[in-house]
Amino acid sequence: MTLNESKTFSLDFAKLRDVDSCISELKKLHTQLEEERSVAQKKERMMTNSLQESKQMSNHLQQITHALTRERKQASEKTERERLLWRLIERINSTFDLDHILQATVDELGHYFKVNRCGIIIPNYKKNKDLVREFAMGEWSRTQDVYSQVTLSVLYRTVIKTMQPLIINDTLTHELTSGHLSEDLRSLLMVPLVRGNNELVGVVYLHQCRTQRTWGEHETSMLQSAAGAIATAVEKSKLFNRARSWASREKLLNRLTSRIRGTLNINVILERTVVELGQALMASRCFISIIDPKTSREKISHEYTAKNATPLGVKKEFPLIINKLIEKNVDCVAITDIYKEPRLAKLNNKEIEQIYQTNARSFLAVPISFQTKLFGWLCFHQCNVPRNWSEEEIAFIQSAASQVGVAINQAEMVEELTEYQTKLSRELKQAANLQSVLLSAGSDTKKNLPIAVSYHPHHNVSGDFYWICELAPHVVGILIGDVSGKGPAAALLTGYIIGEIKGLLENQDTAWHPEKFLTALGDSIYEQNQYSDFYATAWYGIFNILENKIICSNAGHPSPYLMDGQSISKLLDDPGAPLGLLSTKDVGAYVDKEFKLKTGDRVMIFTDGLTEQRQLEGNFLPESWLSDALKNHDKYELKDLPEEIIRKLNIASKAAPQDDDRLVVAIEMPEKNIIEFYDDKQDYLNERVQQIIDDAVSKGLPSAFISNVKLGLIEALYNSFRHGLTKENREKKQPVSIVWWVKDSTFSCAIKDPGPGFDWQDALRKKSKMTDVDILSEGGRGVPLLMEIFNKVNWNPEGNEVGLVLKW
Amino acid sequence: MKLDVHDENDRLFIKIGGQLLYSEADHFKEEILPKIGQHSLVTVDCQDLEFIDSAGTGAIVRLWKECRMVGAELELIKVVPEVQKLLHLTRLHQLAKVRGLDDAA
Repeated sequence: MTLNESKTFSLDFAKLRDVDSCISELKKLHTQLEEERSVAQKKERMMTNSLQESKQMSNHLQQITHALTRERKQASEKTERERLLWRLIERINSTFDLDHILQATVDELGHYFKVNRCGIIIPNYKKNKDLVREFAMGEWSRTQDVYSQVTLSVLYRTVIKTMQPLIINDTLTHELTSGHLSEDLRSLLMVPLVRGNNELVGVVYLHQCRTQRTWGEHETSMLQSAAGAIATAVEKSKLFNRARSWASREKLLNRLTSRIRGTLNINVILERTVVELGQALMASRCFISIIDPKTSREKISHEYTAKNATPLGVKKEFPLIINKLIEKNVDCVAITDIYKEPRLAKLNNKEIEQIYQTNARSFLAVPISFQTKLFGWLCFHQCNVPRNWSEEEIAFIQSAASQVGVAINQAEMVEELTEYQTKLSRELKQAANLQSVLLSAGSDTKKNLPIAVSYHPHHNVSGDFYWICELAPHVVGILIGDVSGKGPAAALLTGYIIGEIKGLLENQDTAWHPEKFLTALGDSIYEQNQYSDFYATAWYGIFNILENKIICSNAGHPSPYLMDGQSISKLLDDPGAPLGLLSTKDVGAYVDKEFKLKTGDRVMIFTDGLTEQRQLEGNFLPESWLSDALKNHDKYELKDLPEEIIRKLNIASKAAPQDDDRLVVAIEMPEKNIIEFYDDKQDYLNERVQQIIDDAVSKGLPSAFISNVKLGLIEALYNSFRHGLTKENREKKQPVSIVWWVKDSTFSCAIKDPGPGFDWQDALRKKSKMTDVDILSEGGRGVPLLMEIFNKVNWNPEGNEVGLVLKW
Repeated sequence: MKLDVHDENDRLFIKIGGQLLYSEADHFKEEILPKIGQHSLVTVDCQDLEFIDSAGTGAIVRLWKECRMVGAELELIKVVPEVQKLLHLTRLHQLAKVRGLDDAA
C-alpha cells in the first residue's frame, strides 16, 4: 500500500460512554493506526527495494546488452580473423613453394587490411639472400630493387631488435620517421615473424600512403596472427628445403660412394666428385689438394670452378697452409670471411698474399684421410662474398671427404696390387718359361713311335705335365701327370716333379719299370710334401714297338683309352693312389700292367681337364663324351687327333670357359721293318744286313757311314746270336729280331734276342770306349765298338734288347 | 772267308779274302796259328778282305801274340780302307805293321 492510499477505520461511538472508554477506544484506534503505518512503511520499503532492484536489473541488462554487442563484434572479428588465418594456413599446407605462399599472403593481407602496400621480408632465406615479396596498390607499387632494400631501413632494424610490433600511425610525427622518410608513407604497421623458439625469421608490414591511418588494436592483433602463420610457413619451407637438400646430398653421397665402389679409375672418381660437390654446394671452387709425402707440399689434383670464378690450376702447388690454420680437436678449417678471420694471423705475409690471390672470401677445407693416413684436403672457395658454412654442410662434406679418402686408399691399393700383379705376372711368365724349358726336354715327339700332343694350360704356369723319353729307339716311355691345384704353387711342385722325373729316367731300374718309377716318384713327393696337401696323379707307360706292347702303371690318373679300329675301351690299368698323399709303405707299391697292341692301334692318354669340364650351364660333361668323341678317331691323322678332341670338347661344353689344364697325348703303333734270325748263318746275315743298309741308303744314309753301320749291325747281331740263339731257343724257333727306321737324318734300329740277356752294365763299366780295351786282349771289343760307332746305344735292363742310333 | 797260306822262304804269306767275322774267327785261328813258328815274318795280304768285325780283330791279336812268342814279325798289307779304319780304331796298327793299298810293300 502506498502512502497515498487511504484506509477507513470505524469508530463505534456507542462505546464512547466515558472518557475511559473514549481513551480506550482511541488507544485501540491508535494501535490500529500504528499497525497500519507499520504495514505501510514496510510496504514502502519493499517498494523502494523493488525499485532499486529494477534499476539494478536495468543496468545489468544494459551491461549484458553491451557485453553481447561487444562479444558479437569480437566474435565477428574473430571469425573474420579465423577465416583469414584459415585461408593462410590452408595455403601454407597446400604447397612448399615459399615464394608462392608469400606472394599470395601479401596480396591477401593487402586486400584484407585495405592498405596501399603489404610486404614480407625473410632475411638470409637462401644462400645469404633475402626473400622479399610486396603487394602494392596502383601508384604505390615499387620495383623489387627498391623494396628489397627494406632490411636496410631503421624501421626494420627496430622491429628485429625489439621483436615487438612497430606501430606508426603518422610518420610525420613519429620519432623514428619524422623528417627521415622521403617517400609518401604516412602510416606503418610492422610485425616480426617469430618462430616457435622465439627466433626471428622475418617481418611483415603494412603501409598506408599519403593519408594518415590509425592502426586499431584489432588490426595489430590480426597482423600478428597472420605473422605467426607466415613464420610457420617459412619454418616449414626451410625444413622442407633442408630435407630436400639433405636428400639431394645423400643422393650425391650415395652416387659418390657407388662410383668409388664401381670403378677403380681414381681420376674419373675425383674429377666427377669435385664437379658434383662444387655444383651441389654452389661453391665458386671445389678442389682436392693432395699432400705430396716426399715434398710435404700441397698440390691441386682435381678442380671444379664455377663460371664466375677463375681456376687455380691443377698441379699448382701450395705450402701446407691448412696445417697452420687447423685448430686442435677440430677436423676442418671453416672460414666465413677471410678478411675478418683471426686465424690468418698464424700465416706469414707470403701465405696470406697467396690466399688473397685466390680471390676466395670464404674457405672450407676438410681432411681427406683413411684411418690415420692423411692424403690431403677437400677444399671449397666462395669468392667475393662471405659464406657461413653450416654444420650440416660441413658434415656432408666430411662424409664426402671420407669417401674420397676411401677412393684414394683404394686406388693406392690397386696401384700396389697392379704393381704386385705385374711383378707376379712377370715372375709367372719367367716361371712359365722355366717350366717350358724344363718340360721341353721331355716334349720332343720325334720318336720312332708316332706321338701327337695337344697342351692347353689354364694358366701361364700349369699343373699338367708330360714327359716323352726314348729309352731305346723302339721303346718310348710316356709320363703324363697332373698336380693338384693350379697356378704358381702347382707349377712349383711340377718343377720339383720334373727334376725327380729326370733323375728317375736316368736310372735304368726305374725308367724301364713303370711301377718302380711311380713308387719312387710317389715316395719322393710324399717326403717333400708332408706339410702340405698337394698331390699329383701320374700315368707312366712304356711303349715297345718291337714287341707291340705297353707296360704301364697308374697313380690315380684317368685311365687312357685304347682305340682298336672302331672299338674304344679304357685300359684296365688298375689305378693306385695319387702321388704324394700317402707313403707307398702305407698304401703299397704300384702295379705294372701289360697290354698287347697291334699295328695301327692308338692309345690316348690325357689329364682330367678333358673329363672334368663344365658345360656353359654349369653341369659337368658326362664321362661318356670322350669315348663318343673317339669313335671317329680313324677319320683323323694321328697328328690332328689331340686338337680334334679339344675342339670336340669345346663343342660339347658349349664353349664354356676352360676349367683346367688340358693335355692330350696320342700314340699309334707304327708299321715297321722287321727281320728275324733263327740262326747265325753268315750268308743270311750278310744278305739281311745288306738289305737294311740298302734301305737306309735309299732313305738318306750317307755312304760314308755304310761300313760303320754294317760293322755295328754285325757286332750287335752277333752279340744277340751269341746270347740268344741258344740251342734251346733255336729248337723253339725263338728268333733274334731286328727293326729299323731311317728318318730325320737318323738311322735307328733295335735288336731283341730271346736269351736271358747279359750284364751290359758291367761290360760298360769295364769297357765303354776302345781305349779301355787292352790292346792285347783278344775279346771285349764288341761293346766299345758299338759305343764308338753309334750316337746312342741303349740296352734294356735285362740286356736282351739293344737300340742303336746313328745321326748324320 | 777265303784263306790262301803259303811259305815264301822265311815268310809266311797269308792271303785272306771275304769277311773275317765272328763266325769265321775260330776257323781263321785254327787254320793259321799252327803254321806260326817257322818264319821270321808273317805277312797277311788283306787286299781281298772286305770286312772284319771285333771277333776278326781278336783273331789278329791272337795271331800277333803267336808271332811274338816265336819272335816273328806280323805285317798286314794292302789293307782296304774300311778294314784299315777298324784296325786303327782298335789300335792294332800299334801291334802289327799295317799298310794300305797305296803303301809300298
